[in-house]
Amino acid sequence: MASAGSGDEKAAAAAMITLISSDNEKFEVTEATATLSQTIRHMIEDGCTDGGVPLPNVTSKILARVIEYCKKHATAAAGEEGSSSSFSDAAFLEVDRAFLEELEEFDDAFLEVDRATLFDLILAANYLDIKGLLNLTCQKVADSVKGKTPEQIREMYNIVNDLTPEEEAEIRRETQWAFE
Amino acid sequence: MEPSPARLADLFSSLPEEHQDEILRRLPLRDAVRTSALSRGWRRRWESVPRLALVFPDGTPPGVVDRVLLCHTGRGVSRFAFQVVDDASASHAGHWLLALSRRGVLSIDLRSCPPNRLTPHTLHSSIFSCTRLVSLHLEHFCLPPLPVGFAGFPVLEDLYLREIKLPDDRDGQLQAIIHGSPLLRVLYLEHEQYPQGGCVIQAPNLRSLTLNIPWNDGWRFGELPCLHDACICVDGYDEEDEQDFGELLAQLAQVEELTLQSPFCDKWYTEVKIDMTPFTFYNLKSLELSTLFNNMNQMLVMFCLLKSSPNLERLKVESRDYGDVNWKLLSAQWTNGMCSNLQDVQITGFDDVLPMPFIKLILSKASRLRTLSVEAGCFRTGGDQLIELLACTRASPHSQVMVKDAIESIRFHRDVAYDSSEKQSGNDSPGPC
Repeated sequence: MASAGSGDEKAAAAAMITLISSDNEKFEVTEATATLSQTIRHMIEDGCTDGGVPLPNVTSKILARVIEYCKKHATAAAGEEGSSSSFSDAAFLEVDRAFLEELEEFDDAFLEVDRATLFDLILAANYLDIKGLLNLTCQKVADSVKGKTPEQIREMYNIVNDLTPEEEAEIRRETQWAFE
Repeated sequence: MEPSPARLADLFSSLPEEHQDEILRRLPLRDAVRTSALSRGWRRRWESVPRLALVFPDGTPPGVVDRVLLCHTGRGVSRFAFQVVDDASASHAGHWLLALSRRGVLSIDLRSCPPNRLTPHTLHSSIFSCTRLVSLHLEHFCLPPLPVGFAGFPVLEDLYLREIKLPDDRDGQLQAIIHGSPLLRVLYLEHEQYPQGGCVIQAPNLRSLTLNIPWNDGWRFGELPCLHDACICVDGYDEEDEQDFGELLAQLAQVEELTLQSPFCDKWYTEVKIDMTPFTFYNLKSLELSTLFNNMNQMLVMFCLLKSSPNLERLKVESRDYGDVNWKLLSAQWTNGMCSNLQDVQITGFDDVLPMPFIKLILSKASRLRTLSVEAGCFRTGGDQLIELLACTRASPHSQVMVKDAIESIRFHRDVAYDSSEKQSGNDSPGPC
């Protein structure tokens, strides 16, 4: 896509930002990538990013993943801006569709992580205020619960059942429609 | 390193409450309610989730809705959907709407089904107090009169009304609702006997319009500056009405996609005068028509439309009948520049008969044509049509004739929520010839 290419060039020309993880690892990213995080965007606007942005709540392992997500989606955002005016143009629509499919594939692959990492990503997405990532990760957890019985969910998430058999029977009776 | 099971258990419950909410509100209602049986801590957890979607599966007893609305105390309701099947649930719906209007519901989908009553249930007037509605979908109900000082639906974007009775419409109820919804993007109206008084459809942000209604003199299109696509099936054209079909279409001249369904009462097409020279569909890229190929007037309408659409790229024509028309006369209507940007054409036959003269014309004139698709069923009775089809002269060196298992008939029911991702054409098994 032509517009995505120009987005890349724009990004390359933009200033670089240094992010510092809780374990003191430094990551150089473009401003376009970094500003997918509203938290960082505000820091840049306030001009307090000289000497790097310390992120004491995010480990290097998680920050690397988050940056991977932002890089991909920053390109997508640039592409979208360029092509929105010709939304109904068939050729653009095809390209957009192919690009969206690619993005979806990326997201699916991105979410192939163990549950602990997934939950860490939720916390990081919240702290950094990255709506798309928060959405994606929360949806992934919701999908893992969908259609499961309470027994299965307890097993998946090691939730201890402290209900007495009588209490559980009562709950099931009260909300019988949800168990049918 | 795999985390220990204990750490996993900690994970879910140690997640801040707002994150748990984010996860829970993404669950279907049944799944959310079922979490109450996980443990004591989870027992009432779902009840406080803000913006939960209260979408009830078909056949849910009304008492369940009562209880859910009573128990759920989380801030706001993102969506409420319920199918009314009997008088008992209809009598509850009033309380629900009242509760929902107080909770600032964003989306309501209420359908009464099956429509086995002569008089549909009348909705409670608190429907008009749901001022935070973004989407409203109603089927088979009677709307109550507008309350005095009705403030409109200031943020409504999607309005879908199917078989809705408007007893108050002499006073322009429908029009008041549309005009009271300045952010409206998608409007769908379908009714066998629509308002006596007609309606001026004017909406500054309307993008997608579907109309399947009996038309009369009272209906008009006002300013629709953002209209992108229109799907029109108007029936019962009144003999005394003077409104010209061309005049009606001229008011939609800005659209990029147009679907015209010829109604079964074909007077609309057969007797209505049409003169479309005064305007041009400059933006029109995609046109879908269902046409009686044995009716000269309808054929002329089709030719007029093709003539008025210089930038047309996609054309889909459904043949609804077939017979002899004067093709010589029609061919003479063809002017230079017609279909000069046409790239993709789909044609369905009637009774397995393809409108071959029309296909020949398109193939011989459309110089940028890439594909012309026809249904495989048309060759069931023998290969004559196929041989004829392949022997046609083609104006475009790059054109391909495709035989497809099925070509969707003209889609009247547009996607209710405008979603480009669902507008994929795929699913055929094309065989290029």
